Parts: sequence; C-alpha cells; structure tokens
Amino acid sequence: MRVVVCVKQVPDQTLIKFNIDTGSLNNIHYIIDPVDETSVSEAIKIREKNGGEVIAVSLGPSRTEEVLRTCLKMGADKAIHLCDEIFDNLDVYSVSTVLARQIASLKYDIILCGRESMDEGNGFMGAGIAEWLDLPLVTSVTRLDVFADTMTARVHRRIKGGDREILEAPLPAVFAVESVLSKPIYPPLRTILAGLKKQIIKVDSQSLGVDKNTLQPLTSILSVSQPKPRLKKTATIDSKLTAHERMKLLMSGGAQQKSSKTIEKPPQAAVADIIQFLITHGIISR
Amino acid sequence: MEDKGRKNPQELTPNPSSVSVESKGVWFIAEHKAGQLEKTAFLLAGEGKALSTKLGEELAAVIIGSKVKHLADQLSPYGVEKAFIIEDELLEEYTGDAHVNVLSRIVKSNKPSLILFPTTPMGNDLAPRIAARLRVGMIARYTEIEVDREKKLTIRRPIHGGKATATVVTLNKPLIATIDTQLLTVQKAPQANNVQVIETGVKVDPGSIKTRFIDYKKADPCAVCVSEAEIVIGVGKGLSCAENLKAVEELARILGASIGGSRRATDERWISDERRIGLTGKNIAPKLYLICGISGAFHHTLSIKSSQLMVAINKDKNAPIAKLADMVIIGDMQQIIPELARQLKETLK
Repeated sequence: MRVVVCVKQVPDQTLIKFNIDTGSLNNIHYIIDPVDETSVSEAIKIREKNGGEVIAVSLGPSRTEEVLRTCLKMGADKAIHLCDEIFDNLDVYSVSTVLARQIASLKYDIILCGRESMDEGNGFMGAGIAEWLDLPLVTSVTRLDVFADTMTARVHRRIKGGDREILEAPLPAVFAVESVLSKPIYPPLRTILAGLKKQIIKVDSQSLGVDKNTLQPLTSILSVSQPKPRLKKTATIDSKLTAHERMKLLMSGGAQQKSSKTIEKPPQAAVADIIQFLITHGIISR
Repeated sequence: MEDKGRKNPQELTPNPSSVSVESKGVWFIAEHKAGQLEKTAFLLAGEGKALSTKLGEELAAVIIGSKVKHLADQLSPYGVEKAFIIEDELLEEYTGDAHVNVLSRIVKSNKPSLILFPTTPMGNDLAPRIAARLRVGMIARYTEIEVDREKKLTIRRPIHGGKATATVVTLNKPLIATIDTQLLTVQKAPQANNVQVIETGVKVDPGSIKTRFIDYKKADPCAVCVSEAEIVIGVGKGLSCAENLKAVEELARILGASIGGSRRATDERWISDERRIGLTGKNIAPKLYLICGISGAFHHTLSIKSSQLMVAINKDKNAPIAKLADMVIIGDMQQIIPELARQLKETLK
C-alpha cells in the first residue's frame, strides 16, 4: 500500500492570541496539525501490516520543513515539500489543486488528510483532492481497515450521536480522517535517527508545471480581527438585584435568564416531577 | 475593534470579473429523517429568510430524498417561496456521491447566489463536495453574513478555534456556506406563504456512486463518548463509592445516556479518564445533562454550558450548580437515582 499523507503546519491553538493593540495574531508557535499526526500514525500502521511506503506532502514556506521532518522521524519514507513564492497566501481551493497535481505525479493507493485543520478549519481539502483526481471520498473517518487482496477499504464514518456508518470504498481513495482514528505512534530511536538523515524533496512551481495565472483564489481573507464575544440571550437586567450584582452582569455581557425550578420533596414525588419535566421538554415520551 | 484589524488586509484582492451577476436566489438544504423535516431545516429557513430579504432574492429549499414531496408544505410558515424536490430511490440514504451528483446539476441550471448547509454530518460532507464540483468558494462554519448596499456579501467566521475572527469574501457564485445550527433560533416569517413545489425530475447517475454502503452501527449509548451523546449523566462526589455506580448505569441504559463525571469521579477511579467533563476533560453539548452529586465548580460548569437542558440532583441547595440548572432536585442521589430508574421503566413501558 502506498499511502500519501497531506500534512499542514499550523499555529498551536492553545498558545495563539489576538493582540488588540497591533490588530494581529501573537504568540505563534508552529506545530504539526494534530489530526495530521493521526493520519501519519495510521499510514505507518497500514504500511506495517501491508508493506508499501508512506509519503508525506506539505505545502508552505520554508518553515514547513519542520513538520515534514516530524513525519520522517515518525517513520515516513519520503517527504515532499511544495515550496515556492507563488504558493504563499493561497486559499484552500488553490492549495488543493497544487497538492492534487503533486499527488497525481506519485504512485498512490490511499490518500489521507485531516477532516478539518486546526487553524482555518475549512474542511475542504479532502473533497478538493478527491474531485481533482476523480477518486472516491469518505469523510469523518474513525476507523480504516485496508484489504490489500481486494484493493478495498472498509471505513467507519462518524454520524450523529456516536453512531457509525460503515462504507466500502475501492482503492485508490481519499479519506478525510478524524483525530480519534489512530493513537499517535512512538517510534523507536532507530527510526527517529534515520528520519533525521533523510532528504526532504523540494518541489517548486516550475517543476510541478503550475503557473501563477492558474492559481486563481476563490475565497480571500480580508482581515483577521478580535473574536466577538458570543451572543447571549440577555433580558433586561433584573432591578431586584443589588447594584454589585447588576454591575457584574453587565460586565460579563449579560445573563442568560433561566427559569430554574427548585424541588424539595421526598424522592418519589421529586422523581415524578423530573419525569414530567422530561416529557414536557420532549426528551422522553410516554 | 473590528476596524483595527482591517488596516492590514492580506495581499489577495477580489477579482470582480469572476463574479457572475445573473445568480439569484438563496437556497438551503432541508434535512429530513423518517418522513419528517429535521429541526435544522427550520433553523436554516429562518437564517435564509433574513438573508434573502436583505438581498431582495427569493428563498428556496432543496429537499433531497426518495419520497419527500409532501415535506415542502411544512416550510410555509417560514417564508420559503420555492422548494426544489429531487426524488430518486438511490437518494433514500445519504451518500455524498449521489447527492453531489444531483445537487450540482440543479445548481448549474438554476444558478442560486447562496446555498446554506447545516453543520451536521451530512452538511459537513456535502458542502465541500459541491464546492469542489462547481469550482466555487466555500465558507465553513460562518457566524455572520453582512450584506452591503451593492448586495455584496462579507462573511465572518471563527479561526484558530475561536481565538480570532476572519472576515472573508468569496469571489464567485454561488457561495457555499455552512452554519452551526446551534447558533440559530427558529424564526417564523411574519406571513406564511404557499411553497411553490418544483419537481426537478433529476435522477442520480448510478455510475457516480463510488462507495458502497455496508451497515449502520448504532452506538451503545453507555459506551459513547460524552461529547457525542445526546443524553449525559454526570456523577461527582455525591456518588461516594464505586458500588453506587451500578444504579447510575442502570438509569443510563434506560435513558440511553452516556456516563461522565467531574474530576473527583475520575480521580477516585469511579469512571475512566476519558469520561471526565470539564476544563481538563471534555466539553459537552447534549440535549439533557443529568447532574448527580456535582456541586458545580467553575472547572466543571465551564464545559457544560452548551447543554440544552440541565437537571441537577444535589443535597445542598446552595451549591453553585443550582443557579445553572433548569431544574434542581434537593435530595440524596443514592435514593433518587434508583427511584428515577424504576419510574422511568414504568413510564416508558
């Protein structure tokens, strides 16, 4: 099985901050997108079972090498870095066309990517690549079983309320995976050292045959601003409250008015009330 | 605040030539299940109506399924003017390939300007597929669409997990957008109108379906991850010993609920670590959260605020949870839980 994994370098979400004074994002520490780490882990597990190779592909400026190095250290066989001036600031649509072009020049059976990246979270990449390469696509994959003899994959797809849909896809195919798919692997030291020595293959627009004019964006980010506080259902502030409590409410952006019901009854009667409450709110029906 | 960010627009500027002027109409995808429209359909209808009024365009629903024509009437109180019906036996269950095949064809022939999808498993799968098929821009999980005087759309959406907001435009039409339906409320139009039913007669090209459906796996409610479950029971210090969890488990089976708990419950090893709800655990947004013996420390309540309905059982009526819950039962969970299980069994019989 030849597995191509699309990886992305993203700013660590837990650290990044929006600076109101400068109007830009601060404290940016780049990491490999956690969901892509999952994909690489899964790809390596597939290779261990069925043989073949794992190729990591990433598009981005020179710092993207770091995530590709991470993939090599995890045990990927090859890493391809799509790096060019004209690749800077592309929208998700253009990135998917460039990635698809690169993947088309490789030999592949399975293409893995994250269902949604941690930074922008468009959730488009899988669909884009599948469309350009005319391949089957399954999104929200939580389990992936590959059958090398029949060249098919049986996949579990997340649907509502923890339910799963089981689908069969002929290979080659694109899978947009969820981070629960696979536990991260801990490679042995030998693999890590070998990963440090491997070459990262650089590909620029010329060798890929991509022209600047063909990269027309479909969406464009005009600005990045401070997040708006989430809208809350605010009622007029209760005049019965003390000044101190009213101030607190105003500063926290208002209070959600709840008609809380307190019941102090013996268990049997209290339970009857709960059941009535659940019925009126449509949670259960008689 | 918003304007400060706008001073540094990125290099990419809109290319007006690719905007087609003839596109008209706001569409939304009306999800349905077992012969009934889902709530997301009404929520999107309300959002669609607001946008279509601002744009001065008409609002149309798209209903895709095997026998769905009769569903269109249910949308009349929401100001939906048209309903495009796509009926085919192959569309009985949702398959991305079949749905994108038929939807892309009617979009091409009718040229709407905007198509709204819910952020459900269906919408999250279909929206990017249709955007890729039509070579148009897609905006995921938007929170706000602004319509200016020239009827141009400016969209805001959270990025970096909500740490910042991006202001985005798409450069061609139709705009494919998904919206988190949890942000919306059902809004009826001032006037109900007759929904004009348009039978598209489009059939699925069987060759377009590349994946094969094998099976559904219904989740075992007790084993489901707390963040996915529709009903969650949370246990805390009030459980007092692991032995008492049996009663809770029985109740969970009856309700079809997943069991989670506070930090205390996981530290005591009453429940496993991945079932911890709170700052160091998971966020939940179930339909019902039954809170048993959790006082409601900030670290816990932070993660439960999106729950639609909260019922708390607690000995202490001054516990912080009492302020947050929709219903508070003052009493011992040890007595109430088995009683609740018994009475529920009778009610549901």
